[in-house]
Amino acid sequence: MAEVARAARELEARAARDRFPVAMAKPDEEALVARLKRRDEAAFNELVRLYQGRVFSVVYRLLGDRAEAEDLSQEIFVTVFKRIDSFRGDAKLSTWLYRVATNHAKNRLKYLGRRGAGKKKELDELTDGQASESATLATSARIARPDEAAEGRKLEAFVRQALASLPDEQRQLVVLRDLENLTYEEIQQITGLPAGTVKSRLHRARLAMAQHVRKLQKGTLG
Amino acid sequence: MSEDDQAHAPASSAEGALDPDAARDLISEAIEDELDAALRARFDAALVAHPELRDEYEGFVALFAGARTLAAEPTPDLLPSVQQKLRERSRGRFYRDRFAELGPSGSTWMALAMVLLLIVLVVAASSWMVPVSP
Repeated sequence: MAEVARAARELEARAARDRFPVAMAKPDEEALVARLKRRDEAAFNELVRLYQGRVFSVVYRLLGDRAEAEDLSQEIFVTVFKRIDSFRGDAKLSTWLYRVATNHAKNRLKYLGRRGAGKKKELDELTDGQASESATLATSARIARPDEAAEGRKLEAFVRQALASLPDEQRQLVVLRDLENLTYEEIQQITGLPAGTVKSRLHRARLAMAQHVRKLQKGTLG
Repeated sequence: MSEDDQAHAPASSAEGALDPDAARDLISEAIEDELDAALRARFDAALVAHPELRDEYEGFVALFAGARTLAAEPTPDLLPSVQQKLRERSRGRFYRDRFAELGPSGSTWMALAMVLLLIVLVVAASSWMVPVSP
């Protein structure tokens, strides 16, 4: 049991290092925001380069469609350029960006829902045998033994499918906390939800995911 | 306390091991290391006392690690498309096409046309003034 927890912590630490290491010092961030408010194009280029990975990642996780995520990420940065004056600096710039991104994603999901588009198209594809075999997934790449690598790929495919099965508001919380590694305080600022609600919804989402993965592992889910 | 808070509040049957349902409600906190030492001890005791709960917990730990290690999607370079959208929507006020600016502008073309016209006129005038030999 302790070994499982230790392995999990090690994987998490490695994942945190490999993700987008954006930790801007406050004075640097204030200077960047001041330049952005003057519509300094070089500052905006810097902002896009710095945050495009995070924005694209969260949007892709929420929409589940790469092309939609790419288009929406561009729109998010256009909005940021136009609306930077509304950033008051009471939260971190990254938190404000996440808020803009998740609001855009919610609207896009509604729009896609109305259009009847398959919002989880790519996530579902990833659960196909062929896709899970060819997917270059982090866990499998880090595990040396071939049988463990195959297990890692399978687990990741199951996790993706379980994530796609969640209702939108639960998926948002799992993406922000478990995939993007944000603090509860940041998630509260992004979603506007009280701490208790964030925690309980997140717990329910994780339980639902765990049940979904268990069913997939037992082969009782299609 | 909100409805969500109440639903998520820890509960136990005794001072020893937590009962399975109470322990199940604390799995998220346990994984995130948010339980105080006393509660953690009772949680761990519950895992030992209930093998099915331990299986569930280990599945949860694996899921949690799996979620956190999902490969980051390769990010496309968004900057050129964002710049283009801003250029179009601001009608060239932002991100003007500097490559195009390097080429001749309208006034340059006009000046060039004037010079060419002047050369043609000079050539025509000089040929008209040359005396024709008998």
